Amino acid sequence: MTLQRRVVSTVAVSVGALLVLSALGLILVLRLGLDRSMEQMMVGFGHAEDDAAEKDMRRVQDSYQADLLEIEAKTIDWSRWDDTWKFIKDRNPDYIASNLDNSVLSQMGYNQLLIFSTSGELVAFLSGDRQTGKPLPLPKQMLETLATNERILHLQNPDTVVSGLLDLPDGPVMFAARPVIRTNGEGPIRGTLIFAKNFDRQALERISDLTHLNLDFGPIQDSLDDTKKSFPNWSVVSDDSIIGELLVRDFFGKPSFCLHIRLPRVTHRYALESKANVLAVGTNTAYLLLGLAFLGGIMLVLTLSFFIHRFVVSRILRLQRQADDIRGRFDPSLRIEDLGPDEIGSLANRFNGVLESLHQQHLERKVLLDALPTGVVALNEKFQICGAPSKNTLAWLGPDSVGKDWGLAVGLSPQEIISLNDFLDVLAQELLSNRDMIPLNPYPEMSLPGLVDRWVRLSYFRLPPVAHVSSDDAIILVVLEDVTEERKKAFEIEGMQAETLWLKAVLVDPDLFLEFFQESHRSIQAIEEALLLPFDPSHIARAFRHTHTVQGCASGFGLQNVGLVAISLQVQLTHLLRNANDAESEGVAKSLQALKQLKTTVAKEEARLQKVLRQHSADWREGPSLRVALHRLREWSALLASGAVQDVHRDIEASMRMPLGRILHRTVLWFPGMVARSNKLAEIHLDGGNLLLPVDWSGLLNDILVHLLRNCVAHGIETPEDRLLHHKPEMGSIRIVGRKIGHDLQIDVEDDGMGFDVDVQQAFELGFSSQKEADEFAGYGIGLPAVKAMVEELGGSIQVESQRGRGSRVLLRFSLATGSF
Amino acid sequence: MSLTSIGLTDIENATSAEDARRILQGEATIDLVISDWHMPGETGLDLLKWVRANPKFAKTPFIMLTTEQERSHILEAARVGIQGYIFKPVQKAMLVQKLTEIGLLTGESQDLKDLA
Repeated sequence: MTLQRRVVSTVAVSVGALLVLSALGLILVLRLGLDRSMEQMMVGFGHAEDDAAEKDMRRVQDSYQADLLEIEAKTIDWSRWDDTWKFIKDRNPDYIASNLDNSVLSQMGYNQLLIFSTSGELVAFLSGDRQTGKPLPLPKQMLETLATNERILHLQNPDTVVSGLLDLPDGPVMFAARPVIRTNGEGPIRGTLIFAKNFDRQALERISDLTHLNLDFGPIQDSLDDTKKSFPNWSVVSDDSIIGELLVRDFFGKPSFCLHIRLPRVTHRYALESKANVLAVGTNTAYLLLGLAFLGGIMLVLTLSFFIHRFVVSRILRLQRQADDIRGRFDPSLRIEDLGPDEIGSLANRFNGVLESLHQQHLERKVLLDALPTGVVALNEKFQICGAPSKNTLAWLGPDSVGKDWGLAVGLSPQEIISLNDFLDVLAQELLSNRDMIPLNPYPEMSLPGLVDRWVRLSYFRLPPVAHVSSDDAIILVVLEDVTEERKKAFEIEGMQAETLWLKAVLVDPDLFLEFFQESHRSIQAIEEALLLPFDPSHIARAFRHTHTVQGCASGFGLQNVGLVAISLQVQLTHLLRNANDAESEGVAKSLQALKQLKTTVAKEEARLQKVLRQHSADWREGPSLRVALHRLREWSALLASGAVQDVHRDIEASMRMPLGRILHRTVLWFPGMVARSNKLAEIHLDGGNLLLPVDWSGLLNDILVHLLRNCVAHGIETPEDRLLHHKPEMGSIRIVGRKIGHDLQIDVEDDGMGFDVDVQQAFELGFSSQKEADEFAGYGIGLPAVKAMVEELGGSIQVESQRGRGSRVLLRFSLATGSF
Repeated sequence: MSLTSIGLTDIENATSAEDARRILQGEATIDLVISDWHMPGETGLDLLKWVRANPKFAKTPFIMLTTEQERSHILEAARVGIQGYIFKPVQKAMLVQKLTEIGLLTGESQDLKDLA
């Protein structure tokens, strides 16, 4: 996480926590305050509701009383009436007939009209439906109930009126009773007149209509104790309504029935609405406050982050960028800019202090590196020169070599760069150890573009991985050493050694060298003739064979410069053969030029040899010589004098033959030296050394054997270790076996080396076939055609047998038919 | 001198890459493969690729033999994975040193002292 992110998140978390806590506190305070006020408001509303309920109950009660008063009022017309008063006494039927008709009931709206005498006797009555007037019997127990109380039927005062409720089995009945007196209000009281009206549902509805309240009959609750009998009582049954209970007692004070008054809770509803409104306002206020706080919080975070970024983070980032830049440019001389006098500025100054000491160290190291006679340079993973190469390196590679591809900087061709980069790639990947990599370096020594005529040795080392982190960092270290003097000395020593060996060889067997020069002159002549003939591939092939002979023999005698010149002639001839079309002009000219060089070189070597061997200077060019003992010459002279020409002829013929062992003597002597120059171990055996051959075969036969033996050692016999791997003795064995078969002489050259499994005929022609095949059959490729040519020169034939892994055998066959051997 | 004299035992000789595969797949556990680059038929590189592709021998030390003229062969083989190489002609000292390096010889054998 970056510093900036950390700062922003820290500020955001702190402000966020602060906001959440404040919001929680605000909500808590609001909640508690509101709850408290709501509670008080509801109490107030409750009181208001109670007052309203009480008033409503009283209205019902009043309405009921008003009903009773109405009955009381109505009774006065009938009780203070002379007709009634008289009727109680005379019981005149006319009164009944004219007044007591049931229609009276329906007109007045009562159920009963009762007239009692003072003795309590029911004098007359009407009873019926108060709507229709239809006659009905008196309610049960009505009379009995009226009679039980003296106050009703025995009223004493003419102005008295009693009213109330009778609780009868068929239902409650309202009544009013007045004493029957004269119309003028005077007595005596003759009886009692009563009007009664059933307090039924209809009567209840009337009260309900008057009071606009919802009324109903209800059971008398046991819980209604006596103390509350006189007062309306109510209870809340739901949020919508209150049920009030009004206990109604009969005339005698006994509870008769209960009126249930359902009151809508209007006040309560208003209270609830107010409460909801207040809560809504409160909640909205809280949300608004929270929203404002949130916005404020964001502003705070942004502001804080901005200032922290401006004063801290951005400056640290600047410091970081500059540090990266200095590291990336690999230049400790750079410094971080002044970042002000505070802590960050002081940090930058400390960095600069570290850079300063690094710079010092860097300079000291550079002085040390520059003082070294060797050059040191680092390569990055693209094999480009990186870092600061030492002074020597810059001098050798050129001052602007940093950043260049290494292969180009040291002046390699594109093909060579591919090969070098292949090597560097394996080194960089650590696929082999540093030690194993050393011999694989394709260009360990070379001359550099900035250092002409000097030889520099280049050694490559992989740097430990800890030293590099970016793509431009060094992964390979190259050490350059000027080895020119070393090489010169090595060449001198090599030359001196060669000279010494050559001198030694010359002194051991001068004839060998003399024969070589004779052979060489003959070969050069043959080459010249072949080249000057009209162009024909077979002539050129012949020239090539002769050149090869010269080259092979020269190498065998340690005459390296002759060998090298012969090789360049071979190259020209090969070119001539392959490009037969443009051969005639340029190719032939070039070959003749190379031949001329060969001639000169051979002549130079010849002169050198003559210096050493002055005594041979006179006749050595004339051909092979034969030493004959003086006493033999005297013998032949005496025989010739005596005329025995045949004997002398036979003797001379015999002297001109030599045993095979003597002819090959110098080759056998030469063999160990040749083996010593190789890395092989081999010994030679000669069988059939007593066979006699013409002495003038000696030169060619030795050349043939030199060729074959060189082939055996170079390409047939394996190294001692290879031979051990293949379960063979370390010492290789080569046998030369001479045999006489009829009139033929057969010489076999056998080795127990690695052999080869190729078509023999092909092997003879390989000298002029493709490079691929030449590689495959190595030395036999070029050697055998030359040998074949020499064998044919002696009139012989050649055969080759081989078995891979076991060895090979070359069979030479010559005819001896010309003489009597 | 023989390979046993430098401390190696139970040596199996293969005449070609096919032969070597047959031996590797046989019952004997092979601790080291020394292969020539040039063989009849497939090359040593083909054998190396086969050995490295086979999980059973993925870690078996492999030493490649080739000539000094064929350095590029070694680089090619190194990319496939070899523990070392020896230039032909094989020198006993080189072989002993290489086998000591990869931990197959202790470096204390009598022959090594002889060589020193």
